[in-house]
Amino acid sequence: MIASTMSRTGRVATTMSALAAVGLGAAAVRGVFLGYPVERLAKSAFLSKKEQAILAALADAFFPPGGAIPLSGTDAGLVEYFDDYARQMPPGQGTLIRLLLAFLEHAPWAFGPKHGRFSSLSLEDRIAVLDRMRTSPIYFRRISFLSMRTMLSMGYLAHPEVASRIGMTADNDPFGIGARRAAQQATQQATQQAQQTSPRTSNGAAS
Amino acid sequence: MSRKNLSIRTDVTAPVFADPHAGVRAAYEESADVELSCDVVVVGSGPAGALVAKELAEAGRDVILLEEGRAFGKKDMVTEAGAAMHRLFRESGTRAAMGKTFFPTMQAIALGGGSLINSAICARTPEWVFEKWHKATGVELPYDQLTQHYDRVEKFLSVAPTPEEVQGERNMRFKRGCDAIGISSEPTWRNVDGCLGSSECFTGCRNGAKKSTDITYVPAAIAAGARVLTGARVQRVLRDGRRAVGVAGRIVEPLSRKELGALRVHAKTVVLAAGCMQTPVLLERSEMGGDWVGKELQLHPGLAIMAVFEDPIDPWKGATQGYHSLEHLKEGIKLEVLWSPPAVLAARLPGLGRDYQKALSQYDRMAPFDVIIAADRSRGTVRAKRSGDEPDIKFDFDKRDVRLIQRGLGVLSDVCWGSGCQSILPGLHGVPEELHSKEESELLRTVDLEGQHTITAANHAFGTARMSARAEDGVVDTWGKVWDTDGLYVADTSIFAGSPAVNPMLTCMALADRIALGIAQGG
Repeated sequence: MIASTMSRTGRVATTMSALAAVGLGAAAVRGVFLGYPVERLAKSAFLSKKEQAILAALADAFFPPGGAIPLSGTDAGLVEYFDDYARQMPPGQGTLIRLLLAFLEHAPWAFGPKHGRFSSLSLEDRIAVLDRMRTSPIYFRRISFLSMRTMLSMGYLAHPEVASRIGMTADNDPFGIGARRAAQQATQQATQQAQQTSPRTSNGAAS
Repeated sequence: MSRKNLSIRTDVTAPVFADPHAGVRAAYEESADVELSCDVVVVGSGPAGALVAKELAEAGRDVILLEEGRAFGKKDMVTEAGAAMHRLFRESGTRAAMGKTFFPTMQAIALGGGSLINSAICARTPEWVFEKWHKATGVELPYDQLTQHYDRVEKFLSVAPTPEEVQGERNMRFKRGCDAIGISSEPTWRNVDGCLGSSECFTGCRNGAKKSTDITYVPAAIAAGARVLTGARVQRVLRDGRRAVGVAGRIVEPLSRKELGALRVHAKTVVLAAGCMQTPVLLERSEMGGDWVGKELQLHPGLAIMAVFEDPIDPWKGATQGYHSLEHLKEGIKLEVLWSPPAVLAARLPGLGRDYQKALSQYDRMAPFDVIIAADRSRGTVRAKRSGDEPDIKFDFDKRDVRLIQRGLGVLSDVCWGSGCQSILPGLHGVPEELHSKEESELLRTVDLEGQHTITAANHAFGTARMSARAEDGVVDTWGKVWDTDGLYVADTSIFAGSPAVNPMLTCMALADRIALGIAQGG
């Protein structure tokens, strides 16, 4: 009887363990692979649906709406910018970018402060995650942060409204020197033309 | 053969070519294999390669100049950082030297090479540096001879000091800071003509003012009969016994890097000028050059800080790097004004989220100044990767050199305060994000700084095929000839026997000029 009870208890424990494992597995699968919103970009995009969601979450954490520059990262088109940027990368770099996105997405499980997928956290929690990366004692984490911020900053500052807010111009003649030179040249040419076409005096000298 | 008394003209300025890229053959548009023969094949059209091609073509040699990148005219230049880096830089500008510290290091891929995207700084290496080189590898480079080559290159490229009218506030505040603390500073000498101060050197000059080699030496080479091919990726040097007899590789589409056909050029003489990172890969793949190939990589690590002013200074206006200070050059320290696409510099601004946006919104009040160091004690390697043609770069930032850059940082901080800034953004791990006074900034001198605490970049590279007085100490002799292979020369910065102390382009070109004339005289 004791043996039978132990056997039943063992079977229950095994079943419970198996169910727990399946449950954890399902949670892990969902945590890693499932539950992402629909694609933001066309099917031909370089970034997968999941990567697009991660990037959108990153874009708005780096550049939230309503700040000193009110345009948010997603409003500034960072998902589209980044997709185009990553597509043009040499194959090796493209793979590294995918790895970087995956690392950023799942890093909160290991490093907190809130445990979960980066893209499923609230804006304030995402900012807190990135701030931990930025100031992390682990060099690799700081470099990962810096790489992502550099790429996203390139896209953000490429937006005309952002550039305008900063006062940044891409003026290739910022001091008007070229314009002045061109005006001087035009005046000189006009003077020369006038001299050539003006009536001549009897001795042949220009009047 | 006597190469001791080179007779050289130093009074020739590059003509203005109406269409400087006319005659450049875009091999990638032909979608066919290419097989050619010539006297001299030159690999790489940057400062050294284009110069060698021009000089040897003018000396009557049948020259072919090969460039993997494409030609970019001034109308092709884009100012957006990401797009520009994809088009103009190897590995889309993401290349880095790996080690305990991560060093971004960029190399151009375009007709004109680095001269297309650098700040056009032309600085002569001081004589005492060549004495250091002599001590390192026994090389003797008579300075009076080099002076003639410097003169020649400077004249050809219209090298002159940056005029005040294009300096802008960013550069002038640096000068003010140097004046205030009593150290020397000077306008940089640059190979430009008609600069408008657009500060767009890094993404290619939209005004065509920069005298990069694609609009100077390359068209001059073509005018002298040289053939120039773009989309030509060289992968190895061909040999016949001890002699180099040409190069082989692939025709590639320069932007997508897609391979289109085979490339083979037969030549009596091969000159490698593919840069300090690509040349050792070619030598290693070709099993030429000996044991020193790829060793002795040296970089000029550079570290920037931001001076923040009370008033707007519009840092995006003015010459890219219009001023520098050579006051501490003998200690291995050079101080400069810095500029690159704003987004690239912005990554080191403080804060996150809305704080970062706030910092960005004050960008018009910031000026980045930087310190670069000779880093004589740090070394690295460049090796061919198992697959692909890009190099595997390793670099160890020696603690003593970290101390040196920290010392430079201390002086730079004084320059910032002397310039009238109201705060400094040091961008260092373990240091407050904003320093509000000179006293507070003393921390930059006293903190126990590690390489990993810094965001350091290094775009000056040398030493991977170094010159030496004896075959057992290096890869090439003082005339650029590879010790163990006949008919093979190296002419880029990889031959430097040490740091040039200043920006390397002019010295690279002076040495390339010397090498070209040596070959022309029967080398």
